[in-house]
Amino acid sequence: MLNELPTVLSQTLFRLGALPFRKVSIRRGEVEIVKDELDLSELSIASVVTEDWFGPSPTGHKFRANLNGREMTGDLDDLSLRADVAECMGRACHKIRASVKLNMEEKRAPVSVKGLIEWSYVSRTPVRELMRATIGKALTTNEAWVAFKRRVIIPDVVPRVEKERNLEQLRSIDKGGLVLFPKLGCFNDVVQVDFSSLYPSIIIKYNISAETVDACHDVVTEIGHDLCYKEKGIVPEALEWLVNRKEYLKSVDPERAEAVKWILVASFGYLGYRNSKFGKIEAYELVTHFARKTLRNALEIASERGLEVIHGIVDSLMVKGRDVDDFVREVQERTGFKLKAEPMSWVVLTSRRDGNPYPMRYFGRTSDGVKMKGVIRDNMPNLVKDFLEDLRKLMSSASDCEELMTLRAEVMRLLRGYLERVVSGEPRDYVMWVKGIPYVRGVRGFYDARNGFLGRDLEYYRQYLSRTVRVVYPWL
Amino acid sequence: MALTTGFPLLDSLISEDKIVEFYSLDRELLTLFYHRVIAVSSPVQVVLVGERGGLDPNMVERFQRIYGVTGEIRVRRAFKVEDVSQVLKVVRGRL
Repeated sequence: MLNELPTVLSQTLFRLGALPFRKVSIRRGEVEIVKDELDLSELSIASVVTEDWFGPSPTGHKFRANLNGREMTGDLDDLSLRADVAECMGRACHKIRASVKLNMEEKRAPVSVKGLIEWSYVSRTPVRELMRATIGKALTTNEAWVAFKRRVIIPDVVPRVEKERNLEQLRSIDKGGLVLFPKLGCFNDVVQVDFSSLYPSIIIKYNISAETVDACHDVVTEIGHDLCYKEKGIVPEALEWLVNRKEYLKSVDPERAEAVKWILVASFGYLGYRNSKFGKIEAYELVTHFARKTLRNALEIASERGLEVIHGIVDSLMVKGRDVDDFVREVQERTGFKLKAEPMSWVVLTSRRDGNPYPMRYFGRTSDGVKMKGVIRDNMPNLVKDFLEDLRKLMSSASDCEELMTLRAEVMRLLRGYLERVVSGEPRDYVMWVKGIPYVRGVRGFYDARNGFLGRDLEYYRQYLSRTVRVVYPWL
Repeated sequence: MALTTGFPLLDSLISEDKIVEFYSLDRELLTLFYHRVIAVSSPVQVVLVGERGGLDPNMVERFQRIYGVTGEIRVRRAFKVEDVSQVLKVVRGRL
């Protein structure tokens, strides 16, 4: 019997000792790994996108390329590029030479080509197989390698039987993370305190995996599911290596660290996914239970220390007060989870149009400039995105809330400039991407930009800008 | 016990049937309908088949209050088709 995960090809390569992105030597037909660490310094990596007037397009005649960090643009006819690994789009794929060529139109993975190489390395799976894969496959393959090592059979379908509950039990268990209603307004001298990889860390700390839930009663929880520590779970073992890998890569290569982070982000949701091989709903519920408990612990400690909590979302708190470093230390000691603190000279928490707090949107000044969350969305028109980027730069000059409010005249000037650009802008300014399709709002409604530029609805873009500025700069 | 929807006409139509499928293109209507059926059928044991669960305990209790029923509702969810037969086996064993 052979598990189909890791893929048969990956298992064969493993047996041959020829895993992806390892340096090997071949002597008398024998393959030997010379270097097991991923070293990209000897590789040339390229990304080549073809562009039309509205943005990336397989039929575009211009190109934008990145070869080992070096940016290039030009006419597609002039493109000549050679790389070891390259991702490409449309006609650009015929113009470049590469040992491994990945067509971006077939790519489902939400990471860069470098990120894909990292996935290939950690999942011990050829990059071409992963390119068409979802994050779930990268994660499951990592877990499947642990199962492979333990000689555990992985069925194609794993039927699960959920425990019976009454409505009250369901209501108290079937919940996500804890989200507070933020205090509204601008606040000076706030510290954002984030738990690092909280959900994966919970899975590791409490040994949460389908096979460890209710296997014995080493940890008895209030939600009716218990945990067994007799044997390390498959999911925690796979995640522990990924968490350590991400921490290591942070200082080595942030782009690859981001790719590993994607797998970790998916790891919790996948525990409760119906087709998950190594998860089940009870495991998922345990993770959210411990996450809520952890944030509540942190809130209690903040209260004991007299700190004002401005906001809290799942694994993050914004606090105001003295000795935040001591608070961080105590939370780490009492919860057992790592925290990172980021001081903000000011932060703005905004409301919805109906006046209620909007927990998922905030922006504030950190040492790296103004950080915005839930403000710039992918589906916004390009000129609105540009406006927000310029507004971000403008706001980064304010050192506190009072200074931020005095920027009113500059913000008005910036807005006026963009309202003029609504009239005189380039066609590309009006494009907004929705589910991979570029749209423009014309006088008769939205149309697909791939059919050509057929005019724009000035009033729509004016109102969009005015509405956006009221959200981000409510003091106008 | 026959399935109870709380609508006398529907109940008389389905009174002889053991398995009844309700179908609607209107997701919201279907959601309201099955929450109401669960509430008025209580006490009842429910196997809910849905990719994301889809039971709102508050809505069921609201219907129970509206119709003045208080019977206990016990739920198991089947998130994929392969779970259904396994869940039904366990439920049948307990009946």
